[in-house]
Amino acid sequence: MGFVTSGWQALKQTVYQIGRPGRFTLATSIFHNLNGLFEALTGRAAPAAGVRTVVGHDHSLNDGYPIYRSFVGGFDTGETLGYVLTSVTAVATPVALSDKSPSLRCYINPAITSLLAGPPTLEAKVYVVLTNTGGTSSNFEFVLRNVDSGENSSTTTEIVSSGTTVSKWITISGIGVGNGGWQGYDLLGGFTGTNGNILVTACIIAETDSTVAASTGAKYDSSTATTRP
Amino acid sequence: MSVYRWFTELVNELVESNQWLDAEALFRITSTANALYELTLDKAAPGATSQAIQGHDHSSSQGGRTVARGTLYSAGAGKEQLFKFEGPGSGLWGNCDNANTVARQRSTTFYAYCSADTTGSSSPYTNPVAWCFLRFLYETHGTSRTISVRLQNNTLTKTSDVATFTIPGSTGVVSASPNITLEEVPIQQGWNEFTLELMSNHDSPIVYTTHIVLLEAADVDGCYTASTGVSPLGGL
Repeated sequence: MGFVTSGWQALKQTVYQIGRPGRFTLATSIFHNLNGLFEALTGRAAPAAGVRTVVGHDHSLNDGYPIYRSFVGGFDTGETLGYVLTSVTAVATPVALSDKSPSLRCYINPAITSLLAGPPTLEAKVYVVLTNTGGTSSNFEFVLRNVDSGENSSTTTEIVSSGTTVSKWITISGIGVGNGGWQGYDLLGGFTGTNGNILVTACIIAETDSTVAASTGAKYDSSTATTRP
Repeated sequence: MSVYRWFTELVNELVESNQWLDAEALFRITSTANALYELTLDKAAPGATSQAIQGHDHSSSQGGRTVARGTLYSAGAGKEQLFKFEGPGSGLWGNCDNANTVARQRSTTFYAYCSADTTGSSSPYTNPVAWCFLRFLYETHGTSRTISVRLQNNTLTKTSDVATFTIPGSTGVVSASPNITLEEVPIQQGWNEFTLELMSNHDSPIVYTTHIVLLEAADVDGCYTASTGVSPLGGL
């Protein structure tokens, strides 16, 4: 078995400046770092390595920083009454569907806005039961409000005919992440009619590809990179 | 001191036919390694005084992609229940949420967002898959029954493996099922729409779903292919 090192070393341009031959120190540094990346990502010893040096995602002195994820939180009350607003009349500005604020918390990458031009947003799948007992077709509106940053998501509107109940999954997008870390959220509901009931039994919040802007920079996609002939 | 962070093309032409390792190849290698470090760990590369690639930042200028791992969905009702199931008949599959207040019944039990590749084309499904842990609540009614459980991925139109538990043959005893694990839940990248389905081998018992956790586990648990030490997870 070969000697496999893994860990983090500075990869500096000075060791391969134009005109210098490839050097042993550079090669070992590259191997060292790439093996370290392998172990941090997979949590397994690097290929051909007998032991693991870097422990992925362990948050300790062995390195392994957190890797942030898609599902960030939410709730699901199943058949039990969840977040409700009953017998409402013309709630022009959506109001909280729970008397506890924030009604839920999610953990977001705390570095998410520190160095960026624009933060991402989150997306939620929400199960709603909407009853319109008023005389006309009316709109139900939903917003997820970031209590800590004061940001409102995009408003999702569902039109429900007079005298009917609609049960369905809806999508709320544009949910703000504030400065990252623990963020508090309130689910808000509104109604444009004269007599409506709102029941929400599930809310699944995630970071999704649709909230990720496509890269336009050469740094990421290397669109301007050239291939050596 | 310059520490470059740059995703560039690492093509075979740079190193094939025993060409000399030159500054261009090394520049690309080190830039990529540093960029990988920053993309993955969201920290400045070793030796760098600032961060060029923002890991997982989702912005348009500096890259970053979602990394979906671990828990995909979870719900627990404590001593209560999430969903009420009444068997549609012996040997028939039914939605786990078919006996609740009609307006609250879901044809889709839950959504889960995933960044995995798509599960194989036919059962038994292999990597990548998700795992699902479940608990149920039931009341005994004389005859013993076997309850089968499966998870339907409506987005893929594929069904997980089937697990079972037994409702014993006593009367009036309310009890919880053992932990139920499904280890071949089909998944794909993006939002996945799931319906939990149950089936009884005898008449139409009532079963309550009380806990659901859907997750991506590590390769050691069989959700993903373990490294074999060759491309793309390793090299010669």
